[in-house]
Amino acid sequence: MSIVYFLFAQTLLFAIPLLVVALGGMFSERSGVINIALEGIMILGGFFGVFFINFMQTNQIMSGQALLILALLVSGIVGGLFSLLHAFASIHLKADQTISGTALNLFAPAFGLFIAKTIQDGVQSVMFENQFRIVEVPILSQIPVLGDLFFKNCYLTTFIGIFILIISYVFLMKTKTGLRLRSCGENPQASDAAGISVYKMRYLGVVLSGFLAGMGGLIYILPISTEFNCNVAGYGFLALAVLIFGNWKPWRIAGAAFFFGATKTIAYTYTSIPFLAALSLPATAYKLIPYIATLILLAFTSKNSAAPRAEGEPFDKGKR
Amino acid sequence: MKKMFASLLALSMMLVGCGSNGGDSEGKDQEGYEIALVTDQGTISDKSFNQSAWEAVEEYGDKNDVTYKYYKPSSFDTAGYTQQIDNAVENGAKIIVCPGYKFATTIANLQEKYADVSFILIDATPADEKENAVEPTENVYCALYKEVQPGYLAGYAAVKEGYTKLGFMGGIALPAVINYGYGYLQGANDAAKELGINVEVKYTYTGTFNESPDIQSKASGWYNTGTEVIFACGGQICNSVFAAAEQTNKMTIGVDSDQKDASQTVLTSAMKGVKKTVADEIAAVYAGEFKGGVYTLDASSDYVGLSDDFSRFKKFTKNDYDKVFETVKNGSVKIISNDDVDENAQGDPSTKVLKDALTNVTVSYEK
Repeated sequence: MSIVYFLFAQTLLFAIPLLVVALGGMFSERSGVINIALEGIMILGGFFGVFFINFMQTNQIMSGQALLILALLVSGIVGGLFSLLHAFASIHLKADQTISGTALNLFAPAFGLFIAKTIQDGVQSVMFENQFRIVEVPILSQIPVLGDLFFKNCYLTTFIGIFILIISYVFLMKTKTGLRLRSCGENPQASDAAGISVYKMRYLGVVLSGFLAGMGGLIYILPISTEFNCNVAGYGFLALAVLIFGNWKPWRIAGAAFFFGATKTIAYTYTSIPFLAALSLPATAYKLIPYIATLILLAFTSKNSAAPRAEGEPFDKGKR
Repeated sequence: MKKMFASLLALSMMLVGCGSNGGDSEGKDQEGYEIALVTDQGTISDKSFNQSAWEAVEEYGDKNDVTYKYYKPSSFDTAGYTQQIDNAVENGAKIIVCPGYKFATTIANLQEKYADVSFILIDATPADEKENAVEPTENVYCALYKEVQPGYLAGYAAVKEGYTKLGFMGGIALPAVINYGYGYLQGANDAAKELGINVEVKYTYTGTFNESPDIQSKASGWYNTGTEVIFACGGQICNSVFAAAEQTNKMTIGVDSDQKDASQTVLTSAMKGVKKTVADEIAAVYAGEFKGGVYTLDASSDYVGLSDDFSRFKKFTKNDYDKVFETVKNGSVKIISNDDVDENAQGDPSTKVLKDALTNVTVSYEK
């Protein structure tokens, strides 16, 4: 049974950052702005979050979960500010959204490394001490099965991720602002005629996506390393795939993120799973699983794909 | 708006441009500096080669009242290194320490130009841009290390400590990494033989020197299925292994330098004696005994070994270590290295020569 708990915990490590970043992408795209800059925003958000943690830890100002929450906010705010560049270019200047996103992706790691090297006297990696793992949550960890799954050896970020999922769903699907935001991604001219400021809504969408992607960058790096090198190993792009796979809908995105997380976990831990290890297939076969499974699933589901209709189109008031 | 952007851009260019001309340095404030250290990537407090080398320079300088200084390249490539070596020579350097394999090309280019300067090159031999080896001249001392020996000691110590399920994670299957791994297996084997037990070793190369969730995942997987200690051998991948070990309360073994400060999980480190090398060679220069060439340094003159802090061991003691170190030192144990196996093995631990030697170790190799 412990192997199941282990696999589940490992799945969460992969899935939660993907989920948070993909939800970020969802806000941007539902408002009508393609955001392929998620990768770059993750990097910059993660970088400043880690830097903040490093600063607080070396000067022993703060530690523990409170520091984690503050650092997440720092990451989110940096991500939000950074995404404003993309928002400005693609909303006000009506630039090609793919290109401005790419520019951010290219800029982020270089900028992060430059800052790190300048401040740290030539060292590019920012160290941090991982003191955020919760060995077990009191009381809750005593619940059979669920306690072992969620409340032992866990990270606060898991719960934050799930919380974000719920909030995102409520906000996007159940509130007036959410409806307006969605309408701007479908038919901005109609929204405009109804008196909604398309610009405002799109700014909101992009900044929200930046906020979440920035947080996602920090959530990504914390459990897997003890230093940050301005590299998130393509998770931003993977999150885009999750977003599309999840059909731009919160719950389906969550499903897609867990699916990716689970298959990626299997790909790297198959030797620890007795019956898979016994198969003795080459390692590459397992590493292919997430991608092949995605291709197959997409082939069956893309018929019903519901991309926001005005996605990627700069808003033009005069257009009918 | 546009103009502002343009001028900002121009300004930042200028700033960047200025930055790259400089390079920081520090040392005794006198005219001329006789011993120079040009740092490799990282600083003189990197807990790795730079720091070890700098400590040696500092100690010698303070003790013998010789001036010294370190130079930090603005970029860690041949151009950056060359610039700082030129700088150092201009400042009167007689000895220049270059800690790291990245200096190979720089040294090959400059060794004849600065024939009266002694170079101490760590972990590398001169090579041209196309990585063809260049013969070092009289004034270049190249230190290479026998990685199988510290690897052997690490494996031996781990098994003597009572671990029976070990792991080895190498970076890319390069000779240095492979040798650590082979040594590790044989050390574990010999300790197991002495104890009359069998041990299992999971063995893999991650194919990268960077940390990643995949490596963390894999290491966690190993730890969760019983692996007790993993020898993380390859650049940044140790970060992911440390993270996995911290999550599962298991142990790791560090590499190259003493990594005990990087994580509480580091049992010991398989080290290269960079500090000793630099100290000895600086002394040799002043004694007039310095001789260039390629030297493969090993346990016979204490250039490799485990870190001298045994506080994280519970059973294995300094005494045990001294005993096994002696056997490595006097050559009474033969350790198979990458040169002894099939040349197409590419780090595979299951080739015949090595397999025959491993009587008490079951290796499961994950490609």
